[in-house]
Amino acid sequence: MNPRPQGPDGAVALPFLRERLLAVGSLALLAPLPLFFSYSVELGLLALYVVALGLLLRRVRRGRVPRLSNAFLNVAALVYLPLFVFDVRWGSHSLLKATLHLLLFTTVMKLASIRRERDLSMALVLCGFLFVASVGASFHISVLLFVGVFGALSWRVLVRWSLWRDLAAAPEEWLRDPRAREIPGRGPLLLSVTAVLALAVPLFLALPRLRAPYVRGSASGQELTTGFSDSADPDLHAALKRSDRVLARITAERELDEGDAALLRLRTVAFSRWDGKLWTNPDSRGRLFPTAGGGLVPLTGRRGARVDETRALTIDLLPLGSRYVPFPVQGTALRFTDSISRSWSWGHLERDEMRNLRLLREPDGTVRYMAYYGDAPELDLSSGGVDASAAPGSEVLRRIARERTRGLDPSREPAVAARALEEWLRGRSFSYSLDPVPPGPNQVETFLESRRSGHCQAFASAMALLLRELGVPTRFVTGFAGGEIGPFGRYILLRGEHVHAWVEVWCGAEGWVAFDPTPAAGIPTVKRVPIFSRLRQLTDGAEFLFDRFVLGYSQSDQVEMMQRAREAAGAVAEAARDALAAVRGAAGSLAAFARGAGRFVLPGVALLLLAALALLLRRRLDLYRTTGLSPASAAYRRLQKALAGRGARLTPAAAPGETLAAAASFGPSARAPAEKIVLAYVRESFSGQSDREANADLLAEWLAEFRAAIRAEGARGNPATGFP
Amino acid sequence: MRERLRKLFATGLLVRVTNLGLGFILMTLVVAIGATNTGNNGLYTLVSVFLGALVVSGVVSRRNVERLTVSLDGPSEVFANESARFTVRVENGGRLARRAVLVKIGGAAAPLLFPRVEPGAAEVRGVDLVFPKRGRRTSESLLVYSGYPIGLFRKGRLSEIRDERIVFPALALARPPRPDPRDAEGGDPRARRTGRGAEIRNLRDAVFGDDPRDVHWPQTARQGKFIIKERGADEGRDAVVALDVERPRRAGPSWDARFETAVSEAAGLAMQLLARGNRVGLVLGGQVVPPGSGPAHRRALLQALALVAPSSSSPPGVPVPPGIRIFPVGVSPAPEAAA
Repeated sequence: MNPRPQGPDGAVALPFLRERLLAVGSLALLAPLPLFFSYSVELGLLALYVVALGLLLRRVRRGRVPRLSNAFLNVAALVYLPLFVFDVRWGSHSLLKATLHLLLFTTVMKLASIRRERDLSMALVLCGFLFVASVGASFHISVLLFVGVFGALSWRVLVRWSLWRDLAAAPEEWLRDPRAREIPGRGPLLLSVTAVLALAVPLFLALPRLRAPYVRGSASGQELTTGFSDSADPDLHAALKRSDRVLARITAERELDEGDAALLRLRTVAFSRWDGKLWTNPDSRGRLFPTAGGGLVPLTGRRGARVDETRALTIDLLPLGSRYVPFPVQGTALRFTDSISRSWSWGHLERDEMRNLRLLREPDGTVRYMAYYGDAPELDLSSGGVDASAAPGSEVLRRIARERTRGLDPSREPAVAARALEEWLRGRSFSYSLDPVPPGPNQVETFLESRRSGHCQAFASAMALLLRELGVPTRFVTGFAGGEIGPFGRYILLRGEHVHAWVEVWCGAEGWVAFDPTPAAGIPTVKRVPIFSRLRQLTDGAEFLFDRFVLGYSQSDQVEMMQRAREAAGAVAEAARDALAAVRGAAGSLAAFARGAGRFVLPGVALLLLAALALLLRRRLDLYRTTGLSPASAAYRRLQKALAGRGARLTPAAAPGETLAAAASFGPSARAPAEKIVLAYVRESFSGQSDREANADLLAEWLAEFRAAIRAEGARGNPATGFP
Repeated sequence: MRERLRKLFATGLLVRVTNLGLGFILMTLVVAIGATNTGNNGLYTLVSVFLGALVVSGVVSRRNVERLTVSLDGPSEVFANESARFTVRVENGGRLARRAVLVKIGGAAAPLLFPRVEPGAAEVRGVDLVFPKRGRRTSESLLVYSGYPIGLFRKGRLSEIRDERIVFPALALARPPRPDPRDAEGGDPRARRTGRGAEIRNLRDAVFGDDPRDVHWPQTARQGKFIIKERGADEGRDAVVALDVERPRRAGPSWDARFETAVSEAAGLAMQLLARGNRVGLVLGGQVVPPGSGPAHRRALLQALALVAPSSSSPPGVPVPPGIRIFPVGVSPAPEAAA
């Protein structure tokens, strides 16, 4: 084998170097792009990487393959080492991010210093690591699209890579045939990638899960908050309501519409303590209710409440960064699926004295549960604690509260007083706004006296504090109201805009009663969205499914899937058994009929089979079969068969001369038509053109003439004697 | 029992995992360990895709080399150290096209690429092969393989094509043969009488008494009437090329090389004499090929020279009838001896 030519710097000239650099360079460009969207790499660094790689590939495309010297690489590595330490300590503050930066740096350096075959292989490996890092750090559904696109590109690259390696000893083969450069071709590429992705789905479902799924990674400085934590900032909802992020999805047994606003009001957290700035709850332990085995968790003190399965909402709660579980204000009980209640920490729900429901751990995946409901909210007599009536001690609030309830006795008729305040706050003197509250003390007083504009949290806080000044216990409640009807009507999406706040007032024998002081313009409603927004719903739906069934896929999902598969298999087996029984019944009837006529059936069938076999054998053994032959060839074959039948020693492979000699032995009357047939056959066989003078009819006529002649002769022919 | 099972499952398919394949498997393993340890479903997605790619690659690569029939056809006469044009034919008996099929002929460094072989069709490539040595070759090995689709596996089949072929010695002529004095008498040394020789002298229309086996069918087909071929009688002057095959007792590789040169010279001389219309024979130690002419005899001479081997014993003397010219060819002396 000839040694490979060497370049001026002693490096071996690699075959297909330019093509392979461009191929691996394209992968290196695409692989790290999702890292920016997952906040793993800063935009500036990624841009620097892309620019450096782009310049490198442009040089390669022009035929000038850069090759950094070993000295340069050593210096670069030494320079980067303190940069790496700085990056970890003071830059990104993350070893993972610093390692990603190092990976990008290494990829560029490697591609710019290809000398040997293994350098190219290493560059390919680095691209693979970048790809793995990108997918592993992404939590958005679009990563699936990225996997598909990158998969298709890398499949194409690897097909050619393999071929270039095989043609290293004969590079001219690549240029010889243009079809080589079409490999793999669009059809096979699409088919292969589709097959890989299709096969990946059942593999993904079946691969064993030994740990709980890791689904979220919050970006630094970006905390996920939904107001459902152990405290509520008065201005929190202003930020939340601007978000269109899907927080929960509700599915009902019936189609929900705009008239179901009361049903779709979900209570999440009730607060009882006001410290002048925040609503909080006292630390307390609630009562634990088991959720395992699909047990019901009552929402009030009533145990053993019966529920109507047709009056249930299925709630899929996305991870909110909170342990609190929302439930309908008209709800009677909750039931969790078995999959969530397998471990003890998931198998219990805590209900505190505020009737707040909490999981023992913050879920990191979507939680699904059933919420049963009645026609109206159940009587809530839960003890709200003494804090519920603690007045803030504000002169301004006391004065306003007394003014607005003049002539009423709040201590005897708290519901009437609450109604009065609710109507006043919802009146024309106040307006709804999502503008942020200016910082400062006494924000509630400022809102009531001067600003008179705010969001639901401000209205609810104001009403709760005003009633407390009148000695009426109140709670500040956050939850959801309204919703977005899904494109097919059976489910409701709850977004950030549907987060809402209202007030619960202690009304004595009536228990805790809910009041909503927010002006109508600020109360979220149940609505159908315009057609273009439905597209967003579809994408949100897809995101939800991705979060729930891909990112949040866990061992319990696998168990549930296996159970469903077992049930489905059982149903199929039963259906097959029924079908078999039906067939047997029909066969039994047929057998009874056949027994009567059975004497004749079997011999008849055997005869038919024998006859068919004999016919088949005869056709296959026929040496002179003419199936598929042209008219001239078929006539020549029949001529030979006729001669063989008269004793001539001829086979289909006999030369035309022998055939003609044998025919001539039967006399001139046989010779003449035989000559014509042989001539037609020879013209066709040697010139490739059919004899225009010898069509099928003429050939048949000559053959008939020949047969008649040999019958008339009635003598066995001698070997060829030449031309008469 | 084991042998029976082995034969049952033996497919004859050669499989080799490439370096890329090993790296791919290793990466899949690493990502799988990472996924299992972290519970990251994104990594599980990757593992699933990698495993799917492995499976699809394995199935497609196997299918790509199935039902491929490869054959090698070459000229009837092949001379040592001379490029001979062979054709490699790859036929696809499957239902799907085969892609990136490589064929490597035994001993050759570079493979032939068949980018695409359609189902039910065949692709033919010409390749020049050089056989360094004369002699009998009973088989040629053809390796049909492919790394398609993504080069994780390289699969193929090794075909041993039973193609008994005799590589004739290279034709060389150190000394031109002596001209025959009878050539000075002038005229075509070839006889003009017709006979049953191999040479076709004339084509004419068929007449009464002609043997149908003498019909020239291609001309008959073209002209639409029976044409008879006239053959010439094999006649000419007899000559014999005598090659010294005795191997000295202490002969080494140098003598073997010079013997090969002598064989080439004998072959060249015999062919020259034949071309001049002589009837040529061979004396190769104890082996004798009587003088003759014609294409068949030519092949017989070349075949004998292709297969001749030196003999350590003195060959028996072969009496040559008078009137036959003898052209002796011997092994040239060693260069140091010549000096």
